[in-house]
Amino acid sequence: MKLSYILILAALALFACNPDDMPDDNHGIEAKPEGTLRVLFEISHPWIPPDRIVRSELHVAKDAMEIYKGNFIQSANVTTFQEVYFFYLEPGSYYYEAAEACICGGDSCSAGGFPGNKWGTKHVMGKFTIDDDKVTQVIVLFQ
Amino acid sequence: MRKTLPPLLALVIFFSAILAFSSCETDITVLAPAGTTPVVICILNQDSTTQYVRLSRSYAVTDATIPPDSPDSILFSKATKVGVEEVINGVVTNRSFFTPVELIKDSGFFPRQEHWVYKAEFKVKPETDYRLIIYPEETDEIVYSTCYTVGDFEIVNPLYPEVRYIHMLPDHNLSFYWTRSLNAAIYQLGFVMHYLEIGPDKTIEKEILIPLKSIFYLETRENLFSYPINSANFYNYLSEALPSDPALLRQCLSVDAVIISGGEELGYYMQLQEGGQTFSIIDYSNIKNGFGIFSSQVVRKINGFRLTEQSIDTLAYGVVTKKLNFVDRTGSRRGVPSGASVRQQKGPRVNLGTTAKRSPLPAPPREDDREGISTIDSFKKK
Repeated sequence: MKLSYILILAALALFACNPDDMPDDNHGIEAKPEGTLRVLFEISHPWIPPDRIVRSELHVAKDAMEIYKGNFIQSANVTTFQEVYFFYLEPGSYYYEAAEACICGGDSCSAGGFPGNKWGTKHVMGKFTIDDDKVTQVIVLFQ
Repeated sequence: MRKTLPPLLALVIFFSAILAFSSCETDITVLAPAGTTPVVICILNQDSTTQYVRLSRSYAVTDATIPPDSPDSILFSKATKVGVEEVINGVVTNRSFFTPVELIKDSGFFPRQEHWVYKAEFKVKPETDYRLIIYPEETDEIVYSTCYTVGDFEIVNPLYPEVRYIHMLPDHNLSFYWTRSLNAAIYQLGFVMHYLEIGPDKTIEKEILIPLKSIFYLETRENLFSYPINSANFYNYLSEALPSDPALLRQCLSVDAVIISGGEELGYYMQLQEGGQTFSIIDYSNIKNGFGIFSSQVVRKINGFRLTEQSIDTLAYGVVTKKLNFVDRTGSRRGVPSGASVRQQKGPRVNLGTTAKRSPLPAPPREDDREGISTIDSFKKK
């Protein structure tokens, strides 16, 4: 009697060890720990109306050199309708780059500090750190 | 003594036998009488002055692989009168007549090679009543329909292709925003991608429409819509729509964001199609004395977006589209086989400018990658 129990248990153990029977899903796989970056990307200028300046770029890269090379980890599709953007990243330090463009006619853009006239773009870059399960906030401020 | 059946019972048995025999007929007619039903498709294009009507007719067959003897079986005669009237406040303010034009068919199986559609030149006004009238002499019956054209609308995101790039990756899916098109029931979102196809002998600039999502909004009264697109569908569609050819290199030039608004009739028609109700397509028709659709559409496009460098690289080396041989952000491609079939390039020289948004200093390739690197120039010289 005992022998038959042992045989049954051995058979079960053999079946359980068959790697081909692994289910094709994500059970048992731990998600990577991620933190959150919250970017507040407001448009403001001393005298150019806010609807004449548009967000044009928002990227995250591992370091400043990667920003320069354009090797971004993530990029946002920035819009006129959204001021806050979220990035979900593994813990560590990163750099962000944001850009805004002036769409005024005439010489208003250059007078307002944008390089060139219409479509002149200002860039800003900064460093931030992401921690496990925490939200890091960055406020985009242009000179 | 011999027993006999009562007369009433004998009568019942006799009639029952007759009924039983007559009900044993097993042959049934599966074909309807071979009458002619006009099949009409007319989508008024409010962005063009050229309008088309597709008119064909149903015909009964027992074997669909045998083509009909004559185009008359599937088409009405070229003399069929086809017209569209513009109606404002119940008064016909404009009337346009269509003339038949021969159509060159794409490859595939068709019952007949001959085919003609009907064409007219007129501008379609938004939010206006239109009436389609067709008089095929063969049926001696007026085929007609009415529709109220959709209103104008604008895309408000994505916008500013001069300074914005489209990031086609799921970490931040792009959202379309657009204003309401009055009387529209359906909106189709998508892109037109412009790209170069660089073969051993010539370089051709091509474009491909990538329809991504149809949204059915009939009851809403909102004035601003937004909808996020799934970036993966962009690559999946390209993978299915473009043929894989190792002798070709491709280079993405730009993408146009497209939204098409369609009238109520088109909305019902497409909703039935997308709902998987294949056999219900013919259930919806707004053509009197026929089958089909008479509706209108407005197309809005924001041209000339470039993809971000990550999107260009995903197009080049992503699992789904790597077989399509798109070049990466540096204008080159790793792993292009140095096949002897790729001859000297004779076509126009391709600008080696990168498709990337800026001119980065690309990281030097790893030693194990160097052998497989192929730029457009080196590809052409092979």
